[in-house]
Order: sequence, then structure tokens, then C-alpha cells
Amino acid sequence: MEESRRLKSRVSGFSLVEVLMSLLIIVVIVATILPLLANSMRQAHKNRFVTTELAVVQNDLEEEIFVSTRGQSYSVNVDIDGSNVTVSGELVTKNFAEGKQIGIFLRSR
Amino acid sequence: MGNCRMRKKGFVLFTALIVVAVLSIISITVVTLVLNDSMQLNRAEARLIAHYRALSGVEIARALLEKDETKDARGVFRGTITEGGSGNFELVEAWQDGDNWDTGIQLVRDAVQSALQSSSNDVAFAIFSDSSGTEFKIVSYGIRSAAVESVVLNLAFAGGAYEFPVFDMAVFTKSYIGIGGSSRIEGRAGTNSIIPGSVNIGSGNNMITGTIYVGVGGDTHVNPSVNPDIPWQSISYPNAVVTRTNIWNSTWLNNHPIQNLDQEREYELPNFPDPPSSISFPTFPTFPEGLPGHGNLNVGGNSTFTVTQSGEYGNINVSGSSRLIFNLQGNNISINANSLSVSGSARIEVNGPGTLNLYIDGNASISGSGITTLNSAKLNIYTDGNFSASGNLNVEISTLYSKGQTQLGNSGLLQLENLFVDSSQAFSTSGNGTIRVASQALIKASSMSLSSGTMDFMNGSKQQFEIAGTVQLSGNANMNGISKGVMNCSTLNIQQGNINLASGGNMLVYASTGFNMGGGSTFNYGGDRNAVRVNYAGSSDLDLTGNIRYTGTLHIQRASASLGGSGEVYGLIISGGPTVNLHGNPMADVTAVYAPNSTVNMVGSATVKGAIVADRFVATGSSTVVFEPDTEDLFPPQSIGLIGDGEGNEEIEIWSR
Repeated sequence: MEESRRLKSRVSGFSLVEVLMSLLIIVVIVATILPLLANSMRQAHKNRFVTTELAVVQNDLEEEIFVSTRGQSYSVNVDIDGSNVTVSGELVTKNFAEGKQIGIFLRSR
Repeated sequence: MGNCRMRKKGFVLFTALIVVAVLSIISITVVTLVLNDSMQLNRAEARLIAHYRALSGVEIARALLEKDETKDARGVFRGTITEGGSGNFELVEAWQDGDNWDTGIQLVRDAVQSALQSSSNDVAFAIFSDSSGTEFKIVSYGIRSAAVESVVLNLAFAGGAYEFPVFDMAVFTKSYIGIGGSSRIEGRAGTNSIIPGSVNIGSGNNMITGTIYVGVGGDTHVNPSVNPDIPWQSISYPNAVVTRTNIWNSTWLNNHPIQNLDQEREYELPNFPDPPSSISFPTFPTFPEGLPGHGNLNVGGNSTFTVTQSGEYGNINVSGSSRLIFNLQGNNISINANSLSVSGSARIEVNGPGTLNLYIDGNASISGSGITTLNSAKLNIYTDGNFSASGNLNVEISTLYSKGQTQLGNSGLLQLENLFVDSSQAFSTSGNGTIRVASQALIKASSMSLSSGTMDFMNGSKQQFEIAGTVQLSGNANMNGISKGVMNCSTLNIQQGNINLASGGNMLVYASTGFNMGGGSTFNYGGDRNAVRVNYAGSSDLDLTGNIRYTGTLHIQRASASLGGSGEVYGLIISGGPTVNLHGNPMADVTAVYAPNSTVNMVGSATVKGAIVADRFVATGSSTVVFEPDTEDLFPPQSIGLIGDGEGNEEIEIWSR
């Protein structure tokens, strides 16, 4: 009987430590994972945004290619055997995703 | 009972570990997916940027093909397009028509990729064509980080024959033909006009020998005409496009058919070409520093002084009948001096083998007996100040590079491998000697005066002149052997002189304010009509009626022109000016006047053997136009631009990756 009581009390004490340990592990793991998950979610959201912006920029640039007239605001110097030839046109740039840029040179026409 | 309890021990911990494991797996999966997504997005972004860089390369290639001066450029180019500045490209491998056309595109791709990846450039492209130059491919690559994208554009040019202006009539006008006196048009004549009286044939012996064409829908009668049945009775046709004074019988009518054009003809004035690009000079060398200093070097009297080492001097004066000898002994020697003067009957001898580089901070003046190079010695003179050579001397210089006023006034022989003058001051030659340039003559100056003597360019050499003011040839000065000549100047005044081309050579002149020839001057006299082109952009009237000879294409942007007289202008005259007056002596060779928006007047005894296209044509006196079927041969491919350059317009455009 005495033996049985001692065994019972040992089982109960162990469970409390066990619970505390489990809680501690879970808290540590969750504390580590949560910011990571949050960052990932933010990144995923940003990726979706950039993907959409890229599609818009690509569409805009494709339309720019078919504009029938182009000015001469940008020049490209071409060195051909020592002779410098200047080709004029426009440098059409499109901004996306906080400061990123895609550009295309379109010749004067 | 005890065993059962023991089995339950650690159950919560086990559950917790399971939860942790599940959470970790989910988290790692999410993070991995997001990271993959980000990497793919970055790759897509880089590929898009690379793609538009490749497209930019195609645009530059097309712009080169559209420019007269670079339409024949074939090869591999590479460069970078920088935001906020200007793009810079270079030709890294030159090709000819037909090169790499039949070998498959992969070789070209390899060449372009190699050009791109062996440098820090963003774009590389190749232009290549079939041997006839009518089909082109442009292969362009763009790079961004590790992403490389390519674009291939196939271009086919066709339809040139249809676009080419038709020259099947002696005279064709948009609105009016008037002939009077005893002038003649030998051949057909036509007009787009349907306005009554647009072809006005006056009284006298004037005549159009061929069919007269009037505009679509125009009345093809002659006003007034005669009644074929009652010859003394005149019939009026008020809407007739052709009017003829004094028709007294129907013979003239029978011999002069009048027809309507099948369709209205379009003769467009080609765009006036842009000025040539600036000269691209070799880099002016940095003068050496830290050479052993020697102070001034004066060699006079009958003395001889020998230099065998590099050194820095103050002023070098060689005078009297002395000699300054540079004994190179197989070495390259650099001499840095404040100034150089050779005078009296003194001379400089450079004994090779080896190279002597003379760096002159100030002025260099060479007279006396000049400079002689012996035993394969090479002499390069770089002067930051003025350079003058005068007297009866013979001078041999490998490279003369002058940044100041340059006067070459000798009456001996000045032989140069390269003549580089990059200056804001004048360039001049005088004396009766010869200046012979074997390789390159690149001259940029405020003015250029050849007052006598000869500039002799060896066949195959390159000549470029960029003169802010006037280029003047006087005193029977000659420029001989132009091979690849480009002259960009304010005024070209061949007052009394001659410009002759080498066999197979060509020359382009762009004169922004004036072009004049006089006093028996000649320009490409007897040469190939397609080899010379003068583009005159000025507004002052152009007068080439003196005793001159000009053979080539003359493109007048906006000035009126008087041609002929005792002069002979052979070739193609394109004019956007209000009038072209042709007068004086007969022109013996074929000439075409293409001035679709101008009035062409022929007076006196002027004769054109060729064809005339004008807005209005008025002939008086005994002037004559004789149709020459070979007129189309006068048109060099680049003269009419895209309207009829023999290549036609871009007909096929196929894109691929």
C-alpha cells in the first residue's frame, strides 16, 4: 500500500515536469517558427505583387514597341572601325516594385 | 496496473514532439515554397530585363541599317545602355555581306555570346546578310545577372524595283511644262496635272517629240485645235491640258499623241542626309614624366650632336648647318621638350632601327633641311602646340599628331604614315611640295586652306576632315587619291584646285553653308559618277556655272541652284530648293535632275542628256532635253533613300528567339 502510494506520487510528479517541458519546447519552437512564417507570408504577398507588376510592365513595354513615332532624347554611340556613329532614339523605362526598373531603347522613327 | 501507468509516462511530451514536428514540417514547406517563388520571380525579372536588352540591341541594329553611312555595317557589336547618359557600343568583329549566312545561325549565336560574356557589357548583337545584301538577320543577346536572353529578327527587303522612281520620260512634272523659243524635249513628257494649259507649248520651233501624258482624267485634246474636215476652222477645247499656239493644220496633232497617265505618279524628295559623325581620333598620348633632365639643347654652326637616350629637354634648337642625330640603336627613345626648332640648313637625322617619340609641349617648327629617317627608323611627333614645316625640305614622319595650328608649307616631300590634327585652330598647306599620307589623315580644325601643292593620299588610306569653317583650295592645289573620304565643313570652296579620287575610292562632302567651285576647278573629273556625293545644306544660291567640272551626286537641301554655263556638272542633281536653273553650254554626259518640288528652268543653249523630274519645268531659248534610257543608272542606291534605294522597304519581318 505504501509502495503503491509512493509509485502514484512519482508518476504524478513526472507528468508535471513532462507538461512543463512540453510547453517549453512548444513555446520555443513556435517562437522560432512564427516570425519565419510571418516573413514568408509577407514575402509571398510581395511576390504576388511583383508578379502582377511585372506583367503590367511587360504589357506596357510591348505597347511602347509599337508606338509609331519616337523622338531623339537618347543617343547610342557606336564605334565602327574608329568612326563614331550616333544612333538616336528614346530610352523607355518602366518602374516597378519600389525602385526597380526595366528599360528598352527604341530607335527614332 | 503498474505497467499500464509506465506506458502512459511521456505521453504529453510525445504529443508535444509530434506537434512540433508537424509545425516544423509545415513551416519548412511554407518557407521553401516562398523561397522558391522568390527565386523564380528574381529569375523571371532578370530574364525580362535581359529580353528587353536583347530587343534594344535589335533596335540599334535596325537603326544602323537605316542610316546611309552604316547601312553596310555587318558584324558583331557589343555595348551597354546606361540610364541617364548615352549608350556606347563598338564593332568587335567586322563581316561582309554573305559572311556566316550559309553556315547556320549557331555560329553567329556563339560569336555573339562570346562577345557578350567576354566583357562587362549588357548587350551584344550581330548583323549579317546574304551575299546580295537583301536579306538580313539580326541576332541579339541581352544579359542580366546569369540570365541570358536572345532575339532573332529576320528582315527581307524587297519591292525596290517598284519603289524606284520611274524615269521613262525626258521630262515629268507634277504641275506644269512650258516650252518656248526653239526649245525641244526629245522623248516623252508628262504631268500629273489635269488643269487646262498645264502643258503649254508656245509658238515657234519648240517641240515635244514623243507622246505627251497628262493626268488621270484630264482632257487629252489640244487647245486650240483645228477641225480636221475644215482646216481653217479652229475648235476650242477649254478643258484641254495641252495648249499649243498656232496650229494651222492637223499634222501636228497626228504626230503628237496625247494620253492619260494610267495612274498619278509620286516622286518624293528624299530626306536630306544627316551630317557625318565626328572624327574618332586615336588617344593623344600622355607625355612621359621623370625622364633624365638636360635643359635646353642648342646645336648650331657646323656641329653635330648625338642623342642615344631618352631625356627631357627645355627648348631644342638646331640651327646653322648643324646636325642633331638620334641614334636609336634598336631602341625606342622618348624625348620630351618644351619646343623644337630646326632652321637654317640644319637637319635632324634619326638612325634606326627603333622608334623616336618626340613629345613637344609647345610649338614645333621645322625648316632647314628637314628630318631624315634612316635604317628603318620610325619618328612620331606629338605636339600640344603649333606645328609648322616649311622650306624646301624632305621630312619623313610616321605619325604626326598636332593639337594646335598646323602649317605644312614645304616645297619638298613630306611623307606621313598618319596625320592627326585634332585642333580648334587652322590647318593649312602651302608651297609647291607634296604631302603624302599613307594610312590615315584625320583633320579637325577651324579652317583648312590648301593654297598650293599637293596632298597625296595613298590608295586604301582613310581621309576625314571636320572643319568648322571653310575648306579652301586655291593656287591649283590638289587633293589626289581620295579613297575613303569624308568631309564635314561649313563651306567647301574649290576656288582653284582639283580633288581627284583613287580608283574605286569614294568621297562624301557635307557643306552646311556654302559650296563653290571656280576658276577651272575640278572635282572627280572623269571619275565614277556614283563615287562622289556633295550634300549642300546651305541657303545661299549655288552657282556652278564657271569653267568647272564636277562629276557626282549633288544633293541640294534648300537653295536655288544655277548649273551649266561653261561648267560641266555630270551626275545626279537632287534638289529641294525652289529653283534649278540650267543654262549655257551643252552638257555632254548623262545628267538627271530630280527636283520634284522645284521649278526647273532651262535657258540659253542648255542641254540635258538624261531626264528631269520637277514640279514645274520651263524651257526657253534653244535648250534641249534629250531622254537617256540609262538615267536610272545615275542613282546610287543611297541617293533616294527608302523610296527607291534598290533594296525597297522592309517587307518581311520575322521574330524568333
